[in-house]
Amino acid sequence: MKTIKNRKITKAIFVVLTLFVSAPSAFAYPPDNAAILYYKAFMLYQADDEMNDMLLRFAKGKIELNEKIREFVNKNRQIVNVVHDASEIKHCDWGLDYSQGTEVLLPPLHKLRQLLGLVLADARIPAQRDDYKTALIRCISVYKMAQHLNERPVILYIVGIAFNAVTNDCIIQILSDMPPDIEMLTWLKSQLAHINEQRFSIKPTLSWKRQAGIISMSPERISDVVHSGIDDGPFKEKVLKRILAADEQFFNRNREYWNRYMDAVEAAFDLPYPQGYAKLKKLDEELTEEFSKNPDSTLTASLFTTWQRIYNLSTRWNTQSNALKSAIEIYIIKAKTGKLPDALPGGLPGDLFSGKAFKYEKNADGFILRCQGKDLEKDEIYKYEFKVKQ
Amino acid sequence: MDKEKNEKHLDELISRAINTERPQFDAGKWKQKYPDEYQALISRASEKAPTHQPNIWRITLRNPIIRIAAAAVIIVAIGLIVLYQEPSEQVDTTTFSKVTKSPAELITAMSLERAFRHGGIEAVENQCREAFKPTGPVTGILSIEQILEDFNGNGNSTERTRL
Repeated sequence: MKTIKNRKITKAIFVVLTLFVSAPSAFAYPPDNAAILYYKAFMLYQADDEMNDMLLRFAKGKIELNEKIREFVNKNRQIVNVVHDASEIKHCDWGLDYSQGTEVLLPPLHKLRQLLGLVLADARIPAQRDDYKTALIRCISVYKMAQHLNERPVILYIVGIAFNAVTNDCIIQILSDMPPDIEMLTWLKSQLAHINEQRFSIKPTLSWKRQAGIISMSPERISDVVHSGIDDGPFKEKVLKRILAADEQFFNRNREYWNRYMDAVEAAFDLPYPQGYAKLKKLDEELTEEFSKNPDSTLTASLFTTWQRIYNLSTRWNTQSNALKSAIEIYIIKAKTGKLPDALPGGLPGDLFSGKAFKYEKNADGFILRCQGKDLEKDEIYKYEFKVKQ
Repeated sequence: MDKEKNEKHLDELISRAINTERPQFDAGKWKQKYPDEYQALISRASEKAPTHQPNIWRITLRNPIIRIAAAAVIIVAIGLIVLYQEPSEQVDTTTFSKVTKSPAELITAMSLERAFRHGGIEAVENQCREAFKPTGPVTGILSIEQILEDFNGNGNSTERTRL
């Protein structure tokens, strides 16, 4: 009798404990998926083009803070908080159905850009009242948001790059307004190093594109791909004609061609800039030439991505990030010694266009880090200006 | 005789101008009462109908059976148009494609890559904006009370049954 009673008590304790343990995870805020909060922010946030433009220009330091911006950001405080909460969540699943190949539906990207303007404007406002730590913490949140965009589709990678690049601009502005402070700069350096550990990379995108291409190169899906991905015209007509006459062998040979092409693209991304750029350019030209004479290249040409352009964007953003990291080291020296170094310290990350260190120049306002290699697409040599507050 | 002929002509002019088949009033009296309007009417009618020719349609439509048959044909034609009209396709306002696409088709990875090829990230944003733009008429939305009324079956239910 006593044993039965004990068993009942044990069962009751077990049930209570199970409920106790599971309850917090069921009702906890924030949720364990950042995308839920981003989608919530997308639904709540409304801003017209003029305001979006103003917020981004302020974030990049192109215009001064005005009452309209301050009022607008305050009015949207709850949305800013939702986005910050989202950025702190490690896991982000946008709910994308990758089984659809290249026809996967993406989230509303225009809303992401609008939110970027809002959160970066919100980041710069504390810097105006000398609260630089809060400003920088908010910028770090945007880097984390960009990491959440480092999903597989090419377009999400590009949007993520845009997020990182604009945030770099915002931090450059904050550093220019901020008196050199060793503690703050060291903290920022460690934060950036931590962000870099979860490296924002093209690798998942290249791997996704290869897989998505294979999925889409099937008789059931290929017409949707041609419909959504190719403009009307002779090229599309030729592709459709070949698809209409296709048999299983056609698809098999096209998939093999695609895999070889993607091998070459992935290898090009690992090359130094001038060689990588030249290789991708050559691959584009070869594909155009092959299409006219080799039916096996038909579907590869249909799934064409502007890899050369993406490679360029990626190199440009990574070079800007390296300039920022180098600048922080220079600011730290200034904070320690009270003056700017006469030469660039060794061991700093360099200009990826040339593979060499930045050219360092002091000027009346601060210093300039200049690239030694040219952006071959834009035919331009970039320079990054950093002001130093005395 | 001339006067009579003029007045008869005036009846026709008025008929043509105000689009009635058979004038029911005395044109002579009307002419005396409204001299300015008379002049204006003369000039209007002379512009529109410089020559008077018998109207074959008018003559044909005088027959009541033909009128009923014509009306029936028109009604049937309108009915068929309404019945078999396909939903009109949305016009694609993206600058780079004239192909009609649904909002879902506009936000596929492939479709957005195409937008990027044409106009960079700006074109991607515009295409997303287009896809998420509300379209079509907003239908009447039921209030919570109406929903509960339907749920309970009628509007005369007691508080207890509502709960």
